[in-house]
Amino acid sequence: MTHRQHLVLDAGPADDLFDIVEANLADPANTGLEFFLDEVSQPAPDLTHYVFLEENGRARVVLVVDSSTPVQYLVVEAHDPADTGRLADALARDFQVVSQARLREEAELNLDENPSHLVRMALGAPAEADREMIDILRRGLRSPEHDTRLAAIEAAGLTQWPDLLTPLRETASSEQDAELKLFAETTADMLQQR
Amino acid sequence: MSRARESEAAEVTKSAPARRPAPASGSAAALLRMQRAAGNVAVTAMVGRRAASTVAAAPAHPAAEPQIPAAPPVAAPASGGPALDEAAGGEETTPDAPAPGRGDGELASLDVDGPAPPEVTAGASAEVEAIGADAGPEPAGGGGGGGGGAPVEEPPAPAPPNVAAAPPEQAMAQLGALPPGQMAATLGGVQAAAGATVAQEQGRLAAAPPSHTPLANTPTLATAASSLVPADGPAHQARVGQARQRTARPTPPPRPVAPAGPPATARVQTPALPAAPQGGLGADAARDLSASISRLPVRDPGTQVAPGPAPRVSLTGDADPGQVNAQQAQLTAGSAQVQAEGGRDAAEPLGEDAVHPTAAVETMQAEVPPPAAAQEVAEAEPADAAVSAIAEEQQGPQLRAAAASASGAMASARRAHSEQEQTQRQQSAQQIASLEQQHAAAEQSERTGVRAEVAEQRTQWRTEQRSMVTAAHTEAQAVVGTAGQTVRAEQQQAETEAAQHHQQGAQEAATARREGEQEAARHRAEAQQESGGGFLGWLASRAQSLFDRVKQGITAAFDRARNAVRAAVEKAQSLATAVIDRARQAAVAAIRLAGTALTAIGDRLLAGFPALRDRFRNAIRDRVRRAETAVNRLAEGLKSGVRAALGLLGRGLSALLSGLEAGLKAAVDGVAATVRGAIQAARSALEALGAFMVIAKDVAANPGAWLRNLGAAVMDGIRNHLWVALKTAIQQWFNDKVEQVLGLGRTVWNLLTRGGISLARIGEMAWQGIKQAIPPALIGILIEKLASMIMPAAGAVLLVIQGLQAAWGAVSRILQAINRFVAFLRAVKTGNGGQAFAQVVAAAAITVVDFVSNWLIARLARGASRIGNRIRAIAQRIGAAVRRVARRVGGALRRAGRWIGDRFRGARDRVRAWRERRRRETPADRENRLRQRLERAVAKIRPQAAQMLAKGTTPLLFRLRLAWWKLRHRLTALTMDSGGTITAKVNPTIELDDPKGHKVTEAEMGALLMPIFREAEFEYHRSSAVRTPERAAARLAWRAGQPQALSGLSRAEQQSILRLNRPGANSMRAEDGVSAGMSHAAHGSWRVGRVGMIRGPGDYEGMTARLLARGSRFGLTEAQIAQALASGRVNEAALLSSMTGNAEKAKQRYVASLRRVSFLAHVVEPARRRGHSVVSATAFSMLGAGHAGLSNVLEGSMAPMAPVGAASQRDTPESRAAAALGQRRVGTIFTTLLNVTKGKPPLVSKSNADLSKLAEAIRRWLAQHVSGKDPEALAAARAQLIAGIIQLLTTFYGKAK
Repeated sequence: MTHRQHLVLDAGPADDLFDIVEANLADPANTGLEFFLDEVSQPAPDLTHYVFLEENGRARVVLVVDSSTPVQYLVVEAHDPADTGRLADALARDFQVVSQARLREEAELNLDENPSHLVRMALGAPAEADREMIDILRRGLRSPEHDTRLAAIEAAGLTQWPDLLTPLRETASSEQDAELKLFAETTADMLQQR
Repeated sequence: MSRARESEAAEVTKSAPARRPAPASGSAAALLRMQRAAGNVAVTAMVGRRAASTVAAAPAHPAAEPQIPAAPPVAAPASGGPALDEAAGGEETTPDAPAPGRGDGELASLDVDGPAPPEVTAGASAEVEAIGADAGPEPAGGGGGGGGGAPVEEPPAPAPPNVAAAPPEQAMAQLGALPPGQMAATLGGVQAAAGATVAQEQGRLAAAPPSHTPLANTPTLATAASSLVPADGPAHQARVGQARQRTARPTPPPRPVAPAGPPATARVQTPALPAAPQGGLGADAARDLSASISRLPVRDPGTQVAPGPAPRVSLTGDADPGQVNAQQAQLTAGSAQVQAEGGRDAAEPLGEDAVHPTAAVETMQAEVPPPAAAQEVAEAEPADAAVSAIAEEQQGPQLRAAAASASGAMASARRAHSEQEQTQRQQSAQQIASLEQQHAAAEQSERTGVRAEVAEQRTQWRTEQRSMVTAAHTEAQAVVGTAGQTVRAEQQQAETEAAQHHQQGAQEAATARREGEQEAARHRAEAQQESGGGFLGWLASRAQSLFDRVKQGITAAFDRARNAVRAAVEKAQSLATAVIDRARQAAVAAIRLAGTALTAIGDRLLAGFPALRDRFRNAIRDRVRRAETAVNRLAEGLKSGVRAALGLLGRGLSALLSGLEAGLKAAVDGVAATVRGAIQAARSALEALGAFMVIAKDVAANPGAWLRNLGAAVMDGIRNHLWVALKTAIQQWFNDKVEQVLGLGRTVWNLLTRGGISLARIGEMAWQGIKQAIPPALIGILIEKLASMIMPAAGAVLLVIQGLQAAWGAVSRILQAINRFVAFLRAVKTGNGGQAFAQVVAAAAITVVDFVSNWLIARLARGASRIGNRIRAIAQRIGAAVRRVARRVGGALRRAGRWIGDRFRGARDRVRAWRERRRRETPADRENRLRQRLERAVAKIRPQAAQMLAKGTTPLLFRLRLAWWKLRHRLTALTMDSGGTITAKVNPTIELDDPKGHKVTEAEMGALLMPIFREAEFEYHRSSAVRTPERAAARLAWRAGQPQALSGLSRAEQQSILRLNRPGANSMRAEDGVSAGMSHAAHGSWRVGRVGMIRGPGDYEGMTARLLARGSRFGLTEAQIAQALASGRVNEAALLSSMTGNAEKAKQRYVASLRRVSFLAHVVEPARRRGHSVVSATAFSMLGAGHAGLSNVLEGSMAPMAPVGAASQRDTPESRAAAALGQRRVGTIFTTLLNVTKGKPPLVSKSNADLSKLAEAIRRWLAQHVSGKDPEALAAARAQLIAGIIQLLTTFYGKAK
């Protein structure tokens, strides 16, 4: 049981899910809890966070619209891991959630053609390290394609799996592009400090 | 007497014959009934007519029941008294009395003829005798009779009714229907009823006192939000990692100088000399020797050793400057993370959104007096019947009127009490409502204030965070730069020095080499010189020796040179290596120093954020606590105010009850006083009656019966007992009064005297003549007068008594002795008063006759004709004068009338013409006319108002003046608001210039409005996220209960950090003015492409031209582009459908460009400058409404986007100028809005935002702001403006929750 789950939604950035997510969360009949929209923020131009908070502060759901990846996903958090599970299950019933297997498959198939799938995969990855995903990310980190390496670095940072620290360091040491090198080092540092 | 009563009397009179004969005792009753019904006249007429027959028949039927003859209808008199006189007078003409005035002239003419001749006197005497003979028999006198009616029974006094349980006004009304005697006894009951009513009201009030629950509609918290805030924020996890330490790579020692090899001389072998040492050298040997010596080298390759290239500083390993950069990267990453954490810190709610009172919500009640105990009311003794009856007679109507008035007053008092109670309750409710409104406004102001201040503190917090990060970056950059410079300097210097050392070594080696070679050459030259011409002949030994010596010399020289060279080279290399190594060490030291410095910078930065957080959290929490204290104080103030208002209401209601009680009591007291007064007056009157008092009591016992008895007694006395007693006395009286009675006058008497008739004779003659007429006349008169006097209207005791008193006054001379009279009256009750009456009257017959004669004489002595003539003459004279005046006035009136008529006709014509003009007037004409009238009024009023205000005036005077101007200029309204702006209205409205001359420039407008916009936008964002304290509490609960498992970053948070550190994300760094985490509600899903059209915030120059040029490729006009941008969110589908061409990707890129513009205008710019959402929404709404052009809004004077540099944190002349330009643009936008909405139809944006309302709210606030007079009105206007802005933002951006 975990306190936090991430659900990647099967929707494009143009699909306005906010209304239905809000309606779903506002009705306790759906999830057993009643939420209200607590905050909307845009930490970056391509990221919008809609934060829904449970009426008693027991749980929180964040709808993230990432327009550049593109992906929309839910962050489900609760004080009680049982609440997290029930909430995630309820949301998964009501929304089309992309399975981790499909995320893996898409990431593998589009490694160089559309490396943003690495980010999608990382966003929907389980909390504990997944060997297959790690392999895909390792390949991405070693990819000759700049954008693939960039996406792989970001994806590795998103998973926060310590297993990816070494590959990240390796990428950082071998990277020729200064900005990407710095990004890889920074990401590795962040991962190390986790 | 009313006509009804007259008719009734006539009916009674007419119907009387049909009735069966009444018994004797009923005769008087019939008279009394008639008297009551028809008045004394009818009685008198009947009695008069009956008198003759009765008197005539008296001797034969003294006690016979009177037969009431059929009487002709009696003409009803106008009133009792005068009618009686007239009626009597009518009958009085019957006796032969001389007519007044008549015969004076005739008699005077006779009188002048002197004494009458004897025949005349004889004739006269005979005539007189004849008169005496004609007198007839005297009426039979007295005896018999003795009836006077039946005894009067005293009815038992009824008990006073119990009215205590009735409503007081009804009780009083019941009291009013009671006899006065019972009134007094019932007053206690009325008073008790009044007291009960008051007690009932008190009880009702006490049972349900006015109450109110302040704060019932105000959100309150059981626990202050600030106390739920954790003392410390979440622990920061940001770390500045240590870059990997590279291994040390010491400077390598210089390569050793290669061995020099065999000596150079080794190659030259000693020539073959003769074996014999003593033998001389042959030519060959000598030549060989010379050649060998010549081959001896003077240059030694072994000295060709150089230091080689100078060593370089190797910046590798721990001397690698890249370590500094790596550490800097660590610092950058750590600072980004700590800034992200700091951003969360700064965004963490600290209770400012949940500033609500924690005061207990309690229901307060007004203190009202407890219900009063029922008061014991002393029962009053009812007054006796006589007093009651007299009081009734004296003041019966007054008493009833008083009771009715009191009853009305009581009802009014109760009604007034009810109304006043209602009014007071309403006033109190209004007062409490006002208090609550004030409290709500003050509380809202406090909340708004704390939010604004906290928002400012958070802004400052973030600013300081950014400053810390920026400072750390700057310092780190300096450290990195310094380290690099140090390393480079050390490197350069070391390498220079190394080169110098090598050069020095090379030179020294060269010198040594050169010296060696020179010495070698010298040795060889010396050998050659020693040989002279050659070695021919030299001893082999000598030659060998020379050769060896030379060779050794050269070899030695070379060896020394070699050694010197080697030493120089090795020295140079050693020195160079040392220098390089020192440089490297210096570089390592510099790198380590930089690393340490960067670490220290990171440590300071990481340590600074918690310190900063603590400082701002404490400041914010203090501020929140102050606000909570303030709202608690306000809440307590509200409760105190409500308590005071309820106390006031309670006192007021108590006072009202006291007033009601006093009013009811006053009404009761007033009636009681009146009743007491009436009773007392009745008692006094009764006491004043003296001997009549007992009569009054008799009468009061049963006035009707008593009066019936009285009438019976009078009639009995007159009929049966009076004549005998009267006869003698009347004759004597007649003799005394004969002149007056006959009314003959002096001439007549002279004539009579001259005719030989003495006065006595005449008296005798006359008496004899009239004696016969006396009984019927006198009896009739007596019955009439005595009955009218003695028998007053039935039922009125005091009237009876008063009538009796009057009768006594009049007949006192008739009734010689009161005792007899009283005895008579006392006998009335017994029903046997007739005899007594006769005795009384007979005892004073003379007086009776005198009374009657006086009355007759008075009737005869009327002389009003002369006075009437004089009055008529005067009237005639007055009439003549009036006519003269009337003639003069009439002329003037006629002239005035003609003038008025002319004027009326002129006015009428003008009215008709005006009406006709109005009928033909078009709406435009009307508007124009009204406008002109308004402008004329304005032109008149403006200078006068300004002058008045300049000179100073009182508010009242100025209001009066405004009222006068309003009337004078026929304005619909003329008002001045607290801002000093006078508004005149006919139908259109025009705003006068502010007489105080305040002008607001565009720049000032922008500067004034922006703080309000910021506050409103903050409130909008706040309200869009959290609207209730419960939700704020939920946020706190979320934070407080967040488990350790959630303390890490979610992928969303991790993604935000990574996204900001990703290559190419530098433009979104905090120092560029866009703060991450800025809340933007209601923008929905933004899809911002990387279009690159806009290079960055603030850089909009040429954007319009680019948009138009690119848009034209797809057939888009400027208006279409403007409309696409006007609503704040680009409707992509609609835009794409209106675009032409097949380049779908190009079209989508163009749409993305517009999205980017919209994003910049509505997201980035507001993020850069808080409050700009309002400006952007307004500017783009006006763009959509056609009140602003595209270029004007995108990059011109109405551009909401901040000019380049306007959002800079740096204070430079450029940034200040840019900020001023931005403010002026804001002012231009809203000045334009005010102008385009002034007096125009409502302006509604494409997104349905009512801009006219916003403009009106701005006007009102500006007026209050400029006025500066009324802070409350200003606060209210500000609140309204903020509400209007929130409405605009909600409508424009939508989705506000």
